[in-house]
Amino acid sequence: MNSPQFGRLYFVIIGHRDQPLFEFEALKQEENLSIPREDYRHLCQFVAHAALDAVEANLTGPTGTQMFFKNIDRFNEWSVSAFVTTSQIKFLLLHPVRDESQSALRKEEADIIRNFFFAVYEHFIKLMLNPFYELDSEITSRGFREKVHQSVKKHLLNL
Amino acid sequence: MDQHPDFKCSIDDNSGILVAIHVIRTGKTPFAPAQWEQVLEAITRYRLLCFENTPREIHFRYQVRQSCLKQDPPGTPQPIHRRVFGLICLALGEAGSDVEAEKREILHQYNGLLVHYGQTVLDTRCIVFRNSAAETRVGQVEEEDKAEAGLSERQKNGRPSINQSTNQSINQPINQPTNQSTNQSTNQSTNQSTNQSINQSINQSNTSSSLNRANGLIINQSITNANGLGFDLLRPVHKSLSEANLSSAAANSSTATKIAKTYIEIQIRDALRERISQVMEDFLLALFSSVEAKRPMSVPDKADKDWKGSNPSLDKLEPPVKKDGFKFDLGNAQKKKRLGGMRKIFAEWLLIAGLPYPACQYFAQAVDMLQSAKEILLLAAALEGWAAASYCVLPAADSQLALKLTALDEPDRKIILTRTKAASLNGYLVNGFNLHVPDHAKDRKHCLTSDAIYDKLRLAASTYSMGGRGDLELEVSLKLARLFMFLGDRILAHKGLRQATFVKIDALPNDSTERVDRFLTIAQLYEEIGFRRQAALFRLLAADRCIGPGSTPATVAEAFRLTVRSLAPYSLTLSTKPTAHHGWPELQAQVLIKLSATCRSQHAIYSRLLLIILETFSEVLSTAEKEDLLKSLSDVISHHGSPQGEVALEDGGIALADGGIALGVVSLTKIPFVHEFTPMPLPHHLQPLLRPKLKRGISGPFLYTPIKSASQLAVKDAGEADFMWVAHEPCELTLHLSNRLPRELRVDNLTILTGDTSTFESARASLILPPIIGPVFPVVIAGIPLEPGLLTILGYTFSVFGMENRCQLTELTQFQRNPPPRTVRVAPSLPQLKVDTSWPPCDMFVDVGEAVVGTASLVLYNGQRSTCSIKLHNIGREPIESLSVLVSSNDNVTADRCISFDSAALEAALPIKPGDTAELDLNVWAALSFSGAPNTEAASSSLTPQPVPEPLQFVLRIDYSGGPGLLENYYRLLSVAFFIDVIPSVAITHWSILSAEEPEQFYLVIDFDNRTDEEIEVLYPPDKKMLIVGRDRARIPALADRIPLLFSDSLAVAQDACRQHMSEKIDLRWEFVERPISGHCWIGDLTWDPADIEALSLPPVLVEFVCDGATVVKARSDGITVDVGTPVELDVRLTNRFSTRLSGLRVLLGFREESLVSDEVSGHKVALIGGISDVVIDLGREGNETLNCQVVMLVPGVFHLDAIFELAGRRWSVVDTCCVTAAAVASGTAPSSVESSTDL
Repeated sequence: MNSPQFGRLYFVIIGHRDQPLFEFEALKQEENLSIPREDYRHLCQFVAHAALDAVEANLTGPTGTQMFFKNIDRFNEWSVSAFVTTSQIKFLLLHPVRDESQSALRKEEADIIRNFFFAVYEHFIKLMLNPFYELDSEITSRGFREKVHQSVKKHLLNL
Repeated sequence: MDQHPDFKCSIDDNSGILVAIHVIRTGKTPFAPAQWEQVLEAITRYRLLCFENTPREIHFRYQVRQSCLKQDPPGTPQPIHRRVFGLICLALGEAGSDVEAEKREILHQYNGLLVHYGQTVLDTRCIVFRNSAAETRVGQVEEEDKAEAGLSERQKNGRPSINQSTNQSINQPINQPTNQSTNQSTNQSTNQSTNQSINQSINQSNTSSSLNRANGLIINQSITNANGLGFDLLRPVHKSLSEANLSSAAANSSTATKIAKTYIEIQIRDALRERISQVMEDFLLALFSSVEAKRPMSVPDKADKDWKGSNPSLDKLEPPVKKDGFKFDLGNAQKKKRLGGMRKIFAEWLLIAGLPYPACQYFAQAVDMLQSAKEILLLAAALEGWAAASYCVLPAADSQLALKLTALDEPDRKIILTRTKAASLNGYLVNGFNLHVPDHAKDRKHCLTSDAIYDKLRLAASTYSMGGRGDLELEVSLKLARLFMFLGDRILAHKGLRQATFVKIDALPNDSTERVDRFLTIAQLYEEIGFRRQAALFRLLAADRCIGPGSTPATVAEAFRLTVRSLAPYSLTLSTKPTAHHGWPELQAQVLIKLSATCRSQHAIYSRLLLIILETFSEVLSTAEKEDLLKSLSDVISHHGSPQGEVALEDGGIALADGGIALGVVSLTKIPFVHEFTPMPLPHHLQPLLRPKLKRGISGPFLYTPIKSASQLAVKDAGEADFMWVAHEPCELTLHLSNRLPRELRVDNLTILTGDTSTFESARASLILPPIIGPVFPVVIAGIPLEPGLLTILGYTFSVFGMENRCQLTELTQFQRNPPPRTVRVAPSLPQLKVDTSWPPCDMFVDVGEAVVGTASLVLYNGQRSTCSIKLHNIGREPIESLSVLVSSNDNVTADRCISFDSAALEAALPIKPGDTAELDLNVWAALSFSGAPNTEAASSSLTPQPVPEPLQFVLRIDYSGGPGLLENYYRLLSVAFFIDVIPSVAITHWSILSAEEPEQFYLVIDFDNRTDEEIEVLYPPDKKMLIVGRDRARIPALADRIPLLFSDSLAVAQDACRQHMSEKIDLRWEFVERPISGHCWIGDLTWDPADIEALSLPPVLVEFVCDGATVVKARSDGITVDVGTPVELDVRLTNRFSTRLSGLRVLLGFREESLVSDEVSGHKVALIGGISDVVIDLGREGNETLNCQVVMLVPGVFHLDAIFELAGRRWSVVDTCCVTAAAVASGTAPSSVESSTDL
């Protein structure tokens, strides 16, 4: 597997009908991708969409009461972690797979991602309290994006 | 050494005895697919061998092989479950061909296979199917039971006796010990030669073979003939080549050719199937027996010892311990490796022999040893085997699983062997019931739980990966996935599949289909565990591989099929339009783009798909993607035209499960995107109006009734426009278009779609929209409604890319919230009027509060008059049959005063025929208020701004109708606005009333102020003039008659009456001295206080004084003269001037001395005898009353008798009407009667 490249992150909030409510890409500017950026994003979307099956399987499985599911799916260098809100809105984070050699980091990683998800969840709850926001509709709030951006910076980019 | 992994593998494979099935091709005809399936089904019927009353089960595993797999090089440890122990060869003989030659060919190939599998194979069968050449169209199945070709080798290996005896026992009824005996039994020369040749060939391939036997079994089995005359004929089964059969076949061979051609397929009948099953049962029992014979009975304890009983096959397959004459002391690791390897092999034997408990135990030992020996591949195989063995015993611990397995049990597929049957097959089964299992071996100490199985398999996979065996790693991962799928744990199955996805297999060639197969297998498995989206993703990946470099039409078609199958999980269907609210639009667009890439050869479908993508997903596509799609689309359309109607797949070799796809017509609602669709109302002056019908009174006795009449219930349709169009007159619709594509878009034939095309004639527009412009590109489309009534507007049609498009408004999402009117009422045809005025139009914009068709303006001095000539042209198709003109203004009083016209002349001009003209003269009198504040000296200075002209605005409304519209009460309204700027001429700054000489007249004294710079003459009654120089002022007295005001009128009414009277009766005019401009002053707005009103109003009663009888004195100047002290008879006659009754009229009479002004004369100078000085009387309508009195003057002097009337709080005084001069008696003149009357 490729060496971990933090900064290649893709975060998406997915609604009840598999539609994306909010997308956030954290891609370092200087990073040289082997494929066009557009295709790269589409690949992320395909992976996130496919990972929904695993999320749903986990929800109906014995761990269904959890909110946070780490590494539920994998695709090439991506690992997918998920967070399901009580209103069944799914947060998915695509992050690079860690090597076996970095097992110490892997343990830490779970906590970091969990913290990130809960930070975003808090913002999301605040957004839900907004009477002008309708559940399961696209999130266009710039404030929310800004907050997610800050959470990514705080929790994920400094891993 | 790498090979294609087996994608169908499962954990059961590890515990099954492998039987390879090969097809031998002799002629050109292969098995037909359906036929092949039936044959295969019959052959592979038995999967399980059970022993009665024991839990032991032997599994059989079949593998259909097209070609011989490359064998692993000798020395490579091959797991037992991968060894081919049984071999089945199938051949299809061609009818009519040379049977013997065919047989030779079959035997040749068969021998080749035997040589190939010779190392491992223990038992074989070759089954030949033949289309019968007989007239009854009998299918012949020829089975040739061959002895093992590897016999010689086995003989070499030192256990010939078992093999021989086994083979003999199997073939005893049919086998002949030598070639000679075979030939004798057949007694047929042709047959003889065949057998000889067969034997020769076998002898050639296996030089040391001495016991080759060729035995034939012919099963005559009827099959359904092509004529439908199906009858079954079961001939006795001959266990040797039957002379009669062969001869008949030979005899008929010449005629059979053409009959045989009519065969399309062989349908296997039950009897034949039974026969095959029986053969297979024999075969499997024999095979098991051989395996059982081969299986080592124990495993050596020490590394330097060999297998007990020196099992030849084991020696052959295992790397022998090198014995170089010196006895090496093997290293510890080597020892463990050898011991572990042997235990692993022993356990594998146990596992395929149906003994999983001891297998677990030995596998566990092997894993232990191999782990410390770091023998990676062996360790991985041991782990895998351990998991497989543990899985076999899992049902014993898991009752749920056992139940599930029982439910899946297929008794048909089992061979159940009873002890008696086994005994009858003596020799077949050496130790079938002899389990060789100690009782304590059944403990589950070494058996794994399902979680441990998962761990072991994962470990096995990673161990294989470390050993560089990607194919094995993949197989283990798939086994893991399938196992947990079966156990119902979707998450673990998913993990296994995830593992399988990323296995790298290095040694495969580039053009290998391994990736595609792997993705398809994974997709299939994902679908089976309900992971639809994962399955779709992997199908797409497989499709991507299919259309990669080196793709053929077949692979492209496969890619298309795969992509179509993956649409549903992305919430896409091709039959209906994708909705924006389901699924992930960007992904949907990408999937459709992938789909379009797979069907480039299907031009209609391809272009239709591109259209769908552009139409539906233009928001989520990037500009570059849109560019690409548009380029492809224009290429396709320019070469192959645009698709019309529903397009379906051509016969391009693409077969779909659901019978193919057909794409309906796409209506492009976003190419171009219509932001607004607005039916436009007609210009205001052309809009038809409906005269409200007179409401009928409430019929019935009730004021309120809940029962509503039909007309009340007819609620106006919500979608109806709030305006109307007129039949046969052009109307317009406005569309705001935008093009969201990065290329120029040519839109042709843009037109309106109406409910009934015969009632609307629409124009067509063609335009080219520039790429990606702002939202508004307005287009106006004209049309003519042809019939009155309700016109339904459905939408619009246009053509882009050469394709007709119909867009219904109801389908457009942008109009869901605020839909445009769907229906427009069309009025019957009406005339059209055009208006010209003689006045120039207004040169500035003035809001008059309504739409006007034209304006006219003029500047007039206040009081000036003018005439405007208005020409009415009928420019329509209908005659104007009704026309009325109305002047409307903010100040209707002023407008009424200032504007007048002759409506009778207008009436006379009707009807105005089309093309004709009528004229209307509008008389305008700029009669605004003349009253104004007096110009002070400061105000008249040049520093003050010029007075702003006051405007006089009004709108002339012409409402007209004619033709069919008139019959339906429709009319049109045309408005012309008039603006008259009124500049001041003269102004009245002050006014007052003076009594005139005549009591019935008065003087109106007015101060005129010349507001112009020119000299103005003011003309006033009676025929007098006054010249006022510019900016000067002058006072004029105008004589006028008093005004008869009703006593009952209130002050305001009286005020109005005074104003009206004055404005009508007093003719005040002005004219410029220098210029021929003149005007009338309007004094209707002068205000009067009660004193003034009293002064100018005519009293209600006419007072006449009658002196001395009937003498009525009317003289004002002198009056009557009386002597002092002489009484004079004086009658006061009161006459009611009005036609109303005057009741309670108070009359006060009093004398006043002329020299005194104010006070009434007291009684000491004049005595009024008769008690009438203060009376209240009633006067009837035009009635009169006479009051009689006597007057005695007590002192000389001139006295006036005043009469004062009071009625209803109002008071009139009649003064100076009767003058009485009292003379001293000395003069001797006799008093004379005086009568004076005053008429105010």
